[in-house]
Amino acid sequence: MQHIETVVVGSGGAASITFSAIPATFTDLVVVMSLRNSVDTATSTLAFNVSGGTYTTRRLLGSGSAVSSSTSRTDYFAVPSSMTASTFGNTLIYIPNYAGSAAKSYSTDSVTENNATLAQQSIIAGLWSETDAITSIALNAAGGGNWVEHSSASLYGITAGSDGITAVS
Amino acid sequence: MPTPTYLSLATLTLTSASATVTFSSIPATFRDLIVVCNFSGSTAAQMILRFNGDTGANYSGVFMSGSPSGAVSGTLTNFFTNIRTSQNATILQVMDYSATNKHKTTLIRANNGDFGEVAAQATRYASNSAITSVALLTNAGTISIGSTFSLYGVN
Repeated sequence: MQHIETVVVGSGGAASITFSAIPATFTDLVVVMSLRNSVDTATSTLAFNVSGGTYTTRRLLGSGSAVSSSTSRTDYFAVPSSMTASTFGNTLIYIPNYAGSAAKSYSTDSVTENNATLAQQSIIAGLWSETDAITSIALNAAGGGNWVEHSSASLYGITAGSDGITAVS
Repeated sequence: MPTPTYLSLATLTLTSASATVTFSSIPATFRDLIVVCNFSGSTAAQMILRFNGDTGANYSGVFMSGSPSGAVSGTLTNFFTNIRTSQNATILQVMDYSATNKHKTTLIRANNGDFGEVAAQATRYASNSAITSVALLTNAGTISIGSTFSLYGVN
């Protein structure tokens, strides 16, 4: 796994964290995020290549008191402003074959933190319909908010290959 | 210097449909194994996980999933994911795979955004033997051309 880029939000906040000009030299991408929203919403949107394409998802969500399965594109990646101070949501997104010529599957695992019953844990299966290579990933704060200072996201690339010992057939 | 991780061991892109993909001669030099699968099937089926060619009743696990049928949780044996004819993305992490003093835990995330299925599973392979091979096989139809399977070692 090779580190590509890390973005850390400064004191002014940021409406979006965007990785752009992603090289096509890896096999898979991993995004690791720690996010808090300046407004009272935990949701965010994930966008590949700025815009375009169709996203189909299945989300399994636990909230501390209930579980639900839905096709909502609402991604609970961030801790909202109403949750315990100094807590941030934690999310990992895995994107296999991001530079291939097929539609792009992605997998997300996400939690928010709160010193109360309400906290979200979700897993999402996603499919982006475009067959273009992914060259940018945007993480946008919802509700008109901003990612607060100290929010961060890191992008990693993973390259498949062979060690010359392990066989596969 | 940081410890390297996700070291690539083997990768395969199917050029002909196949019912089985097997990683073998896996060296014992890592802590965990990661298998990344991006695949589709010729028909709806189940993907079965086998370690060291063991076909005995040595596999058990729990799962939670979301699908068009709703949210469910339960136990499972022998299969770890549904196969759909649309694109599936599945990631397996085999913990302490080379240990000879414990059973082996595998954490699995299975995804099919097109069909609308997401699942997380934890499985136990009831063997103290080091894992030297990992086989993924479908119980119906074949895995389609263009499907990719990659094995990584994690320290």
